[in-house]
Amino acid sequence: MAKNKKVDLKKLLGDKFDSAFKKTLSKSNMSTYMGELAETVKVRTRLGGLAEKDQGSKSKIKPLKPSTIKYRQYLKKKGELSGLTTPKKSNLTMTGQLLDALTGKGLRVAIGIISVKSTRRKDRDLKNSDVAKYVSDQGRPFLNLTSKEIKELAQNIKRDLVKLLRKK
Amino acid sequence: MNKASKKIKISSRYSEDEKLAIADEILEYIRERSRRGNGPGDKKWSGDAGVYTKSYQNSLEFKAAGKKKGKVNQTLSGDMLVEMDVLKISKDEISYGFSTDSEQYGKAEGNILGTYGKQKANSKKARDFLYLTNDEIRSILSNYPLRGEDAKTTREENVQSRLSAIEGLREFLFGKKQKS
Repeated sequence: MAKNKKVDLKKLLGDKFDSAFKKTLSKSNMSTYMGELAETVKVRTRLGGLAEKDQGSKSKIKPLKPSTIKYRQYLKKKGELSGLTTPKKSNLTMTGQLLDALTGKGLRVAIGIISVKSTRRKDRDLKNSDVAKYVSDQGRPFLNLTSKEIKELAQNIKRDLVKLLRKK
Repeated sequence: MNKASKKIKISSRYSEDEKLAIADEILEYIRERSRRGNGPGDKKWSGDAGVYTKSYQNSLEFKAAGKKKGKVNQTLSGDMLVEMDVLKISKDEISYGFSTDSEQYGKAEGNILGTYGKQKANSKKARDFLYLTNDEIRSILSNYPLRGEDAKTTREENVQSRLSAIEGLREFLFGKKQKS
């Protein structure tokens, strides 16, 4: 008797696996996954975290410059600083417009995107997407995904894939 | 076994793949149950464990994470539930939870003991989100029956669904098969 037996589960499930995989990662489902991912990135950023590179670990967003803190203190006095931050908190939140403009959508099977919409800002003649590029260029690349965010996405996809495979 | 882990007994008749699938299903069940805002028995947390303290509710963290007062779900950034893992699978036991070197260990232990960063444990505030009732364990194991007419087929189908999803995703995401 052989000592080992290789079990190729994908082969065993064959077409059933491929169709479930495609269905789970359909454009419409990808929109759901990307929407959830965008929310996760929003929360992580508001809590003051980012990843220096994709699949990296989470680190703190670099501190604000004294001049920025002063300006944010002024905004707070005027009641124009978002309630989701403080003058000293570095979390890419001043009015809240940048992160509110973050969305996710599915593009095709297994491909999706999270991006900052090109909506015009209320406070300045700028688009939110321009601000996103600016802050990333300034050393705050908040759209990079942490290893845990990717793990969570994979866990959610696996959960749905198992459900579909069991149904068939 | 540490304070942020649990052990459940299973039959030694299960194969290695069956044990892996059961362990994965346990983690998935606990994650989903917690995210729904429920604890053991899939019931809402009750008493002091069912409400957030006023100071936490008023904190910047709470607001920034968009948390809701009435939903106690072990989720701020979401990292803790993602990091929960299978710790050991032996002949007739599955251990799961957090190893002491996990960066989420402190948070998990704080929830389970009700310490939340303080020295003293508080059983009234404790949220033992890893705990599974006997009914919950039975329900999970019912997907892997050892007795009955179609027991073997049902078991095989459920194991194949789960393990192929894990393997397929790994292959898809990382382009090659990796050891778990």
